[in-house]
Amino acid sequence: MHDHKAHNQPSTSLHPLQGDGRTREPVVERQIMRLLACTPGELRRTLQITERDAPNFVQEEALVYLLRAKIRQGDHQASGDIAELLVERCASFIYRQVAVWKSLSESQKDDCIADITSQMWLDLFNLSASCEFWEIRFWLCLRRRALNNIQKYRVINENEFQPQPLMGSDGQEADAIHSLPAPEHLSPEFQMEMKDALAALPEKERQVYVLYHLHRWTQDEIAQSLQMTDRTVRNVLGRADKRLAAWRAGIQGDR
Amino acid sequence: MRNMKKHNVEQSDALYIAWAEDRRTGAPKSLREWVAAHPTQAEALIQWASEEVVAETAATYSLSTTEEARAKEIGRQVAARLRARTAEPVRSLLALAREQGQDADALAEQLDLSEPLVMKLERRLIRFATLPAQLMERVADALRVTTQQIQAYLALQPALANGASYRSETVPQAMQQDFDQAIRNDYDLTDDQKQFWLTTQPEGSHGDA
Repeated sequence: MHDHKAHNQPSTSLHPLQGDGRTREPVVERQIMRLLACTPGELRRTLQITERDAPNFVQEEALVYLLRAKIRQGDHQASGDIAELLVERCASFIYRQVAVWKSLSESQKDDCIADITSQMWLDLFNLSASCEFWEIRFWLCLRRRALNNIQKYRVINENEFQPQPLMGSDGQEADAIHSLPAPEHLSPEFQMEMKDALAALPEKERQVYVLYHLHRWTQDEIAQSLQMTDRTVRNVLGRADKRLAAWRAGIQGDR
Repeated sequence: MRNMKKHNVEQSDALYIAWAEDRRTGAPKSLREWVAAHPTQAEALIQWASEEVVAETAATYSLSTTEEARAKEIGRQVAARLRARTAEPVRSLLALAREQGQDADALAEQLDLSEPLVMKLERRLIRFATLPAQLMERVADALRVTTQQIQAYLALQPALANGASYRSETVPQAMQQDFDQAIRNDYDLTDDQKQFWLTTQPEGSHGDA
């Protein structure tokens, strides 16, 4: 686990974090102290700074603290304003997270972006310990919520389209032939494009492919971890390879 | 079990953050090492690792002007809707559930409670001070409002049943009970559900509202 205690904690009178061993980054604490000392006019001007390299730019973690401080004070106008500012700052990030999953339709992407934004909003207004990671690692929290929501939509799509297993003449699942070279044998450019193609693979195929080719797990290990038989692992791997080979042929055909 | 899943969200967030930050270091631990160190989270770790291959391409995804505008517009619409919604006091849990297309039974299932207990919450027949924070978070999550709104609703005076009539000159007060008593006396909860809520109950702090 990451050791949050490693940071030097400046002496402050900030509202304490509830989770054991959790601390804010010193830079965030300094920003919070500065924000709390601002006059309303100064605060407004500070929050308008959008250039991340600007000396007075306020990180999202500090904004979440401020938002929650306003909730504790009963200042719903200010807390709503800060939440809107955070939504605006995150809009492009959320869009990018969703856009790379090519299997989602345009309307699903819009719905998914709205769901992620809604969840972020509600988490920001939740003062319990379970939501305080937003004050510590804002972007990772947002990324995780984004991936969770994207997964829901992917599952919906996959339930609607189940790939057929490859059947042998004996009616059993047949062993598929690996038809694509492992990623390290592809050019870096192709590896990048292949990541795009992996987005379109069904969940299980991508998991097996990534574990086998990128993390070098044995088929035995994959079978155990994903509770599959060795043969199913081989077949899922084969299907993934076939799909990626088809995609590769398409790419080469376009060139 | 859904209870356990919900219960572990916080731990899972902590692990995700640790895993994601480790990946940014010069010498990240292998997935095999992570799984060995956190065997109960193996499924999640594998899921993250397989998503990461695609998700990391988001950093280089370049938004067109149209996409940028669309992203901001969706954000603005959600913010406006939630701002209006979260500014209003909650008047009925069941009315909010109906807005989400749920009846009392569906809400009970989502909360891992029984329908009678949901009805007691609706009428605030359970003493606010005895309600676990986790329950209120869960209600807020299900009804897509803030925890503060739910806390404010549940802290109000108990309500009489709809259509109740009385003869006394003063309005009678509905009787309240403690949360653990309501759980113990419930006929519809399973033993596992009772066990869960009774062990959750002592955590009950009501945040900072």
